[in-house]
Amino acid sequence: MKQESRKIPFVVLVIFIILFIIGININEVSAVWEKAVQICFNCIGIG
Amino acid sequence: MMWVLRRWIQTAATFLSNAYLMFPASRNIYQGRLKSVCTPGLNCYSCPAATGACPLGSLQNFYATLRPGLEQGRLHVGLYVIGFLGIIGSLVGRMPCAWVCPFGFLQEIIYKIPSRKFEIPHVLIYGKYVFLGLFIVILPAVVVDDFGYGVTWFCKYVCPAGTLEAGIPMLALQPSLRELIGPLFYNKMAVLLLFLILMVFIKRPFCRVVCPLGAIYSLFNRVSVFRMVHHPDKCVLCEECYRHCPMGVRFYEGANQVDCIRCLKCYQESCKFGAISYEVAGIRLPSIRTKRPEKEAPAD
Repeated sequence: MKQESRKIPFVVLVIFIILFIIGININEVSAVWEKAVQICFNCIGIG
Repeated sequence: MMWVLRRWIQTAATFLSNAYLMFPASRNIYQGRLKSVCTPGLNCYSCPAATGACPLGSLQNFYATLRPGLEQGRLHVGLYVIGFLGIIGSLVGRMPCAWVCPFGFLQEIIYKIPSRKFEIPHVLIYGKYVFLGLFIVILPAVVVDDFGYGVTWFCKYVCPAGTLEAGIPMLALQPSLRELIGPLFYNKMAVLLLFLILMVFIKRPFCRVVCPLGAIYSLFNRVSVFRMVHHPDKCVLCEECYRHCPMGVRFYEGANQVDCIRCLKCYQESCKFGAISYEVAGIRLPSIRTKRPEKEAPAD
């Protein structure tokens, strides 16, 4: 059980590193930037 | 002292998340490349001083534009943001809430206002998962206009951080925006005021009941590299950990509960009996205090 609990965090970490890299490769970084540099009227409460 | 260190880190993180100091001159938000990087804490990206992207706002935008994106052959489901949050979560769980979230920091400061304090019904802590599922994912993706575009529901109807950090400052900076104020703005102001009042009486009410970012991180508390450890053999159930916990967690009922934000206050300042420690990658670090509960001295 102890061995298992030590491996799980790293398995989870690797899975999310892979998702992160896939996200970067399919250009989601630009999508985030495009939204973040515009004033979000919804956030302000007038959108 | 850990407490002083945490305050300094919270202050530095708040400043770094809002380090664009040119906004009084530009009267606009920062638009540099750093805006493509998400902040680990809740910080509105329309705050004039914000230097990074809000992970929740970014996620909602991915789901709100999911259908038009698919029609254009583009499958953007927010893997970049999910991966980013997952990496942090799998390393330290909900620790960012305690150490780097500007809105969490604000709640801790306001709670220091002397007043009668209240506890919330335990069942309310599951509200944040409803907000995560409904307002961040389902509603933005499902409720769409004729062109297939959804709305960032959490930003639009709930987020008090957006009202405080972006709404009020942007309306001050750009007077032309004031003409657009309507019921929506008053609704958001009411939500903000409600939470500002609750913060005086309740420990971190927004984090515990509403915050979808905290909800995401909380899913990793039990499987993260960094984990808290409870030693029942040393615990005397004195509830000192509960009294000092900024999230109202009863640590003795189980380490790594969903609301534990790993501020380490219980570990460093509360427990006198060494019943609390933590482990990193399975390597257990020793308790600071190892004093055993003293038996009552026999009467003379």
